[in-house]
Amino acid sequence: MLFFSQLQGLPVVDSAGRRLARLRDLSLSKERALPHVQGLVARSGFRHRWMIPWELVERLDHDRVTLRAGASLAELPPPDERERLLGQDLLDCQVVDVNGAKVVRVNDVQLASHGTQVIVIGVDIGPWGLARRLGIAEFVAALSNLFQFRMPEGIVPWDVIEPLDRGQSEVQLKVARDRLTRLHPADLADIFQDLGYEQRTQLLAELDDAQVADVLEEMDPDEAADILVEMPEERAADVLEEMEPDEAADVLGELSETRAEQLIGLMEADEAEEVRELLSHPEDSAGSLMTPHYVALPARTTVTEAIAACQALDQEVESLTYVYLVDEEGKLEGVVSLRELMVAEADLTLGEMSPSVTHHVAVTDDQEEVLRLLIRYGFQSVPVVSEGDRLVGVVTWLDAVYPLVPEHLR
Amino acid sequence: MSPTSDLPALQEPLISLRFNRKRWRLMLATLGPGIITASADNDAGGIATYATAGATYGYDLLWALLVITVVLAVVQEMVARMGAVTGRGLSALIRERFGVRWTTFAMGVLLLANVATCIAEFAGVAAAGEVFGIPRWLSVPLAAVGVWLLVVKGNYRVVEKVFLGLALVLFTYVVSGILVHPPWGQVLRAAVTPTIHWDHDFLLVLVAYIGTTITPWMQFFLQSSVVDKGITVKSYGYAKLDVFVGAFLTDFVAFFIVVATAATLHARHIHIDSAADAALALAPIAGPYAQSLFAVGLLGASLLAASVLPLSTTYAICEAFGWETGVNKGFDEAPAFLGIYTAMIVLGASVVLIPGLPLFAVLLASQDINGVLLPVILVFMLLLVNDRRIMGVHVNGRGFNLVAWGTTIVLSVLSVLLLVGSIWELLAP
Repeated sequence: MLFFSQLQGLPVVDSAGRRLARLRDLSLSKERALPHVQGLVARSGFRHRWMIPWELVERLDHDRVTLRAGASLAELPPPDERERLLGQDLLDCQVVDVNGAKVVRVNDVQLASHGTQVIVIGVDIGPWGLARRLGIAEFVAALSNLFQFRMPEGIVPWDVIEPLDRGQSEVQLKVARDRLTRLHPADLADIFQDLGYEQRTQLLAELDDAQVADVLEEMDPDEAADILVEMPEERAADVLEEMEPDEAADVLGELSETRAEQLIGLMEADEAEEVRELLSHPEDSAGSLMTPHYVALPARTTVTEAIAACQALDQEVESLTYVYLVDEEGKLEGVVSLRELMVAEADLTLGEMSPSVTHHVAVTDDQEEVLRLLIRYGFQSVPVVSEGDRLVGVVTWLDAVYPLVPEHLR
Repeated sequence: MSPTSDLPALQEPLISLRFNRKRWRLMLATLGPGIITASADNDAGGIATYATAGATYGYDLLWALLVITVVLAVVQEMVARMGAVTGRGLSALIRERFGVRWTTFAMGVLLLANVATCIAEFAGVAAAGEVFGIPRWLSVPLAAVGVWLLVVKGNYRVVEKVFLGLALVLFTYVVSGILVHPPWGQVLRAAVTPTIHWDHDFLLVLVAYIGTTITPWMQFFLQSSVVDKGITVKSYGYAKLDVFVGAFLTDFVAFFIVVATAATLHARHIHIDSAADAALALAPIAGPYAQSLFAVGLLGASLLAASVLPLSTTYAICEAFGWETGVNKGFDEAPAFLGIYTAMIVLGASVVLIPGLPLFAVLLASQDINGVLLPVILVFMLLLVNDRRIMGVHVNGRGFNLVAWGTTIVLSVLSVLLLVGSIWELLAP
């Protein structure tokens, strides 16, 4: 196994074995998968720095780098600012381990020869990498033998690593981050919390509004609010539109009133109104926990029509477990579960299927009342009504329980 | 037939209901990182050092406090700026800029300074306990276990406020400092007249004096707080004000501790050896209750720092080395984090349990260690804050560099003198 820490500082010698300089860094090719070493940055004294193209390297040994016959440092240029350097841009920096959905720090970089090339195959994030960098790897190995203690390896293969920092051009970044942006929003939310402001801003710029909305929904409202205020206002409003209205309301509730009003003012009228309605209810009341997106149909609808209506739904409806029955004024009249709908005769009407009593809560009822109904009747969600028994929203089981969940489980 | 419901139109925006409940939280949020850092700064070591300075040298060291306030403001502004510009903690920047070896060195220095401070916090607990007749073998282990459990298992936020409240008791020094009617003319003259005693004891107090006001751990703590609060270059103006106010507040209290002890203890040639001595300076305001008042304040300040300091140190170290962090993770998930945190508390508490250990001498010595180690951290900070690759146009201006480098050099010279002097004292008693 070959590590960058073992190469750094090696003498660079000419074909006759004369020492010319020391190896400081490696320049990497810019492709995403398995980048190869393009050149060496060598230094002599404090002032002289050269970029030696890989073609001039004859061989790489454990104690020296030998250049080809006739190679002369005098004609070589100093390293270019725009080069992607392993030691400078990767070593000691934070990267994302996509498999573990974790932000980790690069202690060392694993290399391997591949034909005439040397390629990057992994990063070391474990204790051995640190020990090698400190020059105490052998000592630590002896100790771990003596005490029969196995230290974890901590090598992560390059193909599950996503770099976070600049040093690459915009376009490459977009391609490179593709896998990062396809992570589950809950994992992305964890990663966001590990990042600094600038890295977060960079990553935010690469996600579309709907993705950012999904990520914010996975966070605690106060953390989501912190990220929201880091975004330009227009974008923040667009993201809020994409969020579930109840989640958006929770996040806005964490901001100052003027700031929240400002963002709501920038949102589309429909979404803004939904959020306003939710925000008008006190914290932890059914009205603040509910989502205004649900399926409501007239009682005379047949099973076939109802199923067709469900299939035609757009993404906005968060949970589709019940179809609620309402009259022309929007008054709640009954409920049919999706399961009942699936197994029912095609020409039955929803009114015929609905139970005689439809349990519901009022917008002003507290969370306890919501939970009582959910648990007593084993519902997945509870309908919420306002004056005149008008259906205005539903509280899902998860939204009702969430405030009670201990922080580390969220 | 519409599959999703049509919402009733709303006549007016009604969002105020939810916000009224949140208003208290906004008020707390205006207590910025700078001010919080400042209140954690007047800990057991700080109180002991300022009280010793006043009791031993009267008003002679007041001028140094004014100089230190300027330096404190400059240094704190630097780290706050680094946090706002880079969005990263100080230890992360050190790691990314200087590599593993220098990082190990810097973290070793930080750990050493903070173990010393941690010892001081438990010495503060012991000293406060002894005022009430509680032996240290009881108070110290109790405090250590309590703090550990609190941070790992408990609701830390709530208790932190209680400690902060207890520590506020020390503001009584300000009242006391006024009630003793110090000779204000003399005080003000001393505040602008540099006085130096050319002896080892003075050096010992002076380095502790600097080291307790500008501590290594504060730099890491403040920068992380700025990052955690999401303060960016755009909102930085407010943070800067917060830092300056914090620096002023720290030294405002310190100033009155020195004045109060100088007017009461120095005038009567009382040398401080215990908490009871230091409490005498509160007699003008609290009369017979001075000792209890002082002990409560000292306890609060010690416990506050004991619960913040080991934790923030551990976060800084783990951030530098990329180790898993988090108080609600177990030993198998975050072994380094919990290990370092626990070790600091155990070590801090057990040193204080050494029988016959003079508590006030330990308090002062711990601040000396901080003073000696501070220049090392300052050099790292200055190299970082002047690096254009990291800070862009927000590098230090000439005035700031002058103050910060000047302090680093002067403090390094003082530290070397102190070390040489201490070795001399040891070898030739």
